Amino acid sequence: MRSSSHGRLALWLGLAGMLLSGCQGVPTGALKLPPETPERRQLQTHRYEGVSESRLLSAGLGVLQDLGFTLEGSESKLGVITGSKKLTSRRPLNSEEILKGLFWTAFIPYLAPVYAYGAATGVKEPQVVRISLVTHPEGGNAPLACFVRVTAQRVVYTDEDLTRVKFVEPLNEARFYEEFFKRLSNSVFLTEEKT
Amino acid sequence: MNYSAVTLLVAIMGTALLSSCGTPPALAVFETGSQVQLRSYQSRTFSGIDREKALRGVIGTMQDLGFVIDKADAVLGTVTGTKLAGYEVRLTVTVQAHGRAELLVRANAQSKMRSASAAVAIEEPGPYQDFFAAFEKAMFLSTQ
Repeated sequence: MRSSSHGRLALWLGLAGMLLSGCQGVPTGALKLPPETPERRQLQTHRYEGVSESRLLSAGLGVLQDLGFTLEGSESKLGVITGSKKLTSRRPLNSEEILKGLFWTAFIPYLAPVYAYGAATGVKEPQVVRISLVTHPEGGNAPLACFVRVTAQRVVYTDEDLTRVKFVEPLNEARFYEEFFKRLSNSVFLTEEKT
Repeated sequence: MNYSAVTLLVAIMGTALLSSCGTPPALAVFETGSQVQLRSYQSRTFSGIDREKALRGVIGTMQDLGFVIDKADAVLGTVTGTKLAGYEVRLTVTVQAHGRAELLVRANAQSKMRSASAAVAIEEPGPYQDFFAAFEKAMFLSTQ
């Protein structure tokens, strides 16, 4: 009786191990259009009238270089430029970190200056930002116009040597795209001035 | 060793044998499962579309899905991109001529749920059906 219960236990443990070590699953909806697609597309896209695709690509390349991006790849026939940039940003403490700080300071008051310094300077986030800029000429009989669409994402690390990944996420902040297109528009204008 | 210990050992060894992979390392690259069925999930043919337009459609679709384009090659007809959204998905799409007037679009995806884990090929039909639904929508809208 006892031996059969041991055997059953081992079988369940083994099966659980197999399940855990086997397939790690597919992220749900990874290749499905999210409902917010139209808004996101609008945010990431800008239309330039009277500008050729090649001029937009040159201007985009210039902006990326000005921002310190390293060019990782390009295909001018398809209007694609890809780049990446290493940087360290600082973000304010989140509520969980503030509570944690208050908790430890209540027990060990000597930690107060450390947490106060942390709260004042923010949390370091060593990261790599990846960006792709894609141009797309407007079709049909419309006058010369071209769309530019930018998508960006970042890999945040726990250390400055960028060895341990903390998390990965898309950059969906409107300010990021507004600022990028402001700079691109300036660059397009400057290219126009030169020519 | 008593009877219960032997039973325990046999059960553990049995499950370990079942869960271990029997392919020698040098041949592991050729281990692709049910290739014919997988290829059918990953491929679609399209007619009446120009190859460059299809490639641009693939790029646009991938951007809609949240990908950053890593590489594109107009001559080879390939586009590769990465999506980072708590997980990582790497997708390669090829657009090849198929017969006289058709294009064959094939997608291959790999995913990583955690940064430290190894990438695994996505072999379920669902994600590819989702991708082609998005691609067809993009192509339909661009022809309007």
